[in-house]
Amino acid sequence: MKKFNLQKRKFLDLLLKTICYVSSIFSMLFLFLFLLVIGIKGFDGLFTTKIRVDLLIPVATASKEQQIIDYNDLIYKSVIKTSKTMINMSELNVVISLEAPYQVYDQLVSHPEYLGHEHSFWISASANVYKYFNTHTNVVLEDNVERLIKGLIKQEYVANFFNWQFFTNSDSSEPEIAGIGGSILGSMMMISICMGFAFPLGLITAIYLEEFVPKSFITKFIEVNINNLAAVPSIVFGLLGITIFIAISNLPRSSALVGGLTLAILVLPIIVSTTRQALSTVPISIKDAALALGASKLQIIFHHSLPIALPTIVTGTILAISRALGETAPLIIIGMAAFITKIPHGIFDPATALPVQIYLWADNPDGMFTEKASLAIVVLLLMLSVINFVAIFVRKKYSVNL
Amino acid sequence: MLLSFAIFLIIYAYVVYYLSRFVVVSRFKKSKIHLVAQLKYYGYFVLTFSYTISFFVFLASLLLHKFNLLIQTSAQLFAAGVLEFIFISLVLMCLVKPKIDVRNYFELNVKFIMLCISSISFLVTILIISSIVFETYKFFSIISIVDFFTGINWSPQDDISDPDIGKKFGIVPLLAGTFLITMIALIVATPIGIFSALFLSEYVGSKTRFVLKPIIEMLSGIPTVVYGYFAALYMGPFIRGMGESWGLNVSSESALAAGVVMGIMIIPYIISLADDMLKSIPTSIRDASFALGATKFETITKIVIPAAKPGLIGAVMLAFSRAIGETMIVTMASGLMANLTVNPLNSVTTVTAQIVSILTGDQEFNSVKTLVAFALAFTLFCLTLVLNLLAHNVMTKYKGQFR
Repeated sequence: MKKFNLQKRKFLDLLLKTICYVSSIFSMLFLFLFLLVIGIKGFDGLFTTKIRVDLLIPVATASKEQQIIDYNDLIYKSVIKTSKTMINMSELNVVISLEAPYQVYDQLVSHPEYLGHEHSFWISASANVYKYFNTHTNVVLEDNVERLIKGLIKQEYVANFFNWQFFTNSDSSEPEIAGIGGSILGSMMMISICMGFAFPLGLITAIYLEEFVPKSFITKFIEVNINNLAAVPSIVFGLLGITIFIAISNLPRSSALVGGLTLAILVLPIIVSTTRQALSTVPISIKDAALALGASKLQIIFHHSLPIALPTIVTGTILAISRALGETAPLIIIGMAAFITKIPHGIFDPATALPVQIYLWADNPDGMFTEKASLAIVVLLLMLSVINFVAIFVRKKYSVNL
Repeated sequence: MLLSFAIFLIIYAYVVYYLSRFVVVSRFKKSKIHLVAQLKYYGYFVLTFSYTISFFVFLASLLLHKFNLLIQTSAQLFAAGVLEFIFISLVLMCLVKPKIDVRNYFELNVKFIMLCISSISFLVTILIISSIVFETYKFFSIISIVDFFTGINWSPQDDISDPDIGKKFGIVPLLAGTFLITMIALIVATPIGIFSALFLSEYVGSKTRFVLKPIIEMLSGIPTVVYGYFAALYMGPFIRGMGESWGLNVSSESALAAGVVMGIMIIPYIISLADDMLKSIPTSIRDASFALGATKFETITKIVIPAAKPGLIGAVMLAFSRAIGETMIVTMASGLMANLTVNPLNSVTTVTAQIVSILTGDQEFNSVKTLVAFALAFTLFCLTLVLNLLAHNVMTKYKGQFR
């Protein structure tokens, strides 16, 4: 008679339980660790270092270009005066941002009362000062420049500020003033174009396929086609975008319109399949009851099936939006990865999207941009989680129990 | 001009709707023939029919405008459009009578409009495939298909006069790189994913599951560019540092870094698919097993997993096809040198990374180097298509097993 080895059985039971617990903890840990690393890195990007300069600006008469040059001189003199260290004019840009005189100009435009008497301005410091001020390490500077920065810090003329510019500015070659405002706007434009095309098209196609078309060989073919397109790698859609919208239709390259249309083709199969699934779960008894009361086909669909299926359809569509928002590869293919410093004003303007901006910054060899990329990732993930919560909320709140 | 035309159409729609209702009512008062449908359907009928017919007439006049026959300026086009819409709706308003069963005609028309709109999306799906197939055909008319699929040398270039050009477009190193990275990803993700799915479906109460499941679905929606960033900036240098401390020569763009991060990426995907599969096994057969005295281990290994096996295989296959088509991680974290190697510490390149690197430059659209991207995409498309079809077949066949 075979012996019951109870101990062995219990041990195996425990073993499997441990493996399952450990592996699930591992998987969660992996994911959270990696989000944490990015989040911590992104936190650094939230702050920007600024330098205080005291400027006496005469009432301006010269052209804008001349004024900028004058302000640069004034900033140079002020910095030297405060720190009591001499540097060359050409070394000024090691300390302050190239954008600094423009910042002074912008402040004067909005506050003309500063003209004529001395006023202190906070201007963006360069990436070197940012690193030196916040980490005190790994910055190789000339002796006199280092003394100058030390002098400024001693006088408390250097301080960290919350980086509001990051959320309003567009991309730039200077890391201290580069921001995600332009790319968020570009993403929004693309999402609205994408949904404007894909949602009505997908909804109507799904209703037509589900409710009107008799099952035949052709419809079976189209059905398989659409289902498979939902699982095709997204990069393939980028190639489609480049052939149809750029090579054949001659739409402007890297415009929000082309990006939005490409994303529309990408999410169309997803919307069609989720809508069809939602419509197919409507109980047949409801349709029969409506039919018995004399409703026509269209009345059944629009008065009964669609309202019941709508929460599921909306949830699916919101998830499709979140998919489109995070999509990068097709946008890079159709040329959205260009360096665009202007905020787009229309759908034909060159634009960039948030994930593409992350890709560009992550590939940038200048170290300062990786912090920007992390912060942009945090912003993107926050946007996506808000969208996801909305989807879950819609599903929980409005779904009809039948 | 376009905007004002659209505004005209919207306002005129209201006019047509109420006018045709009024017409029908006045005819009813005159002839005393009862209406056969609700009054609103008479409005809808005239509105939809006139707009559908006028739309096609307007398309014709757009064509005339395009070829500069009869309608030259856009002002003329605008006037023509307005006249067409007004004329056709007036004709229909004269025709509509109380005794016509307008609801059926209206529905036929809506069905027709829906057919037109959904044929756009059918066209798009067919266009996607045909455009890629067409460009791939153009590529294979220059480079022979045998050279492409058997060549082991990948160094694409534009110069067609080169007699050796056929030897420079070999896809084998790319496919080898893709499979190497994908295999690493699967080795990382499959055990963790499946055991976590077991944890979710077998060990956890419904309350925890209720919380964990949406989190996992959310995690599987993290954009891949985030993983790519992590792979390029943290995982690559980390693995290189580890390798160097053990005296190994590791490339900073090693296949291992990209593979591991890709594995992390597909973990939530596998968990969610495998959990669905495990959950669809009825509780009754588990209970039967427990009632016979089996432990949890025995139930899982002898009952649940054999029953869910096709589903689990399908889940891994879907994850595999997703990893093959994954672009951003490999673009950011793996190299561009086409090495034919199985050493995970070397730098390899993949199909998707090559497509991106080929198409991001300023290329002429019809050069061989651009066309090869379409051939690569076509290969990728076929590969994922076959995998998806297989996985779906396996999963659907199995799903009916317990009903």
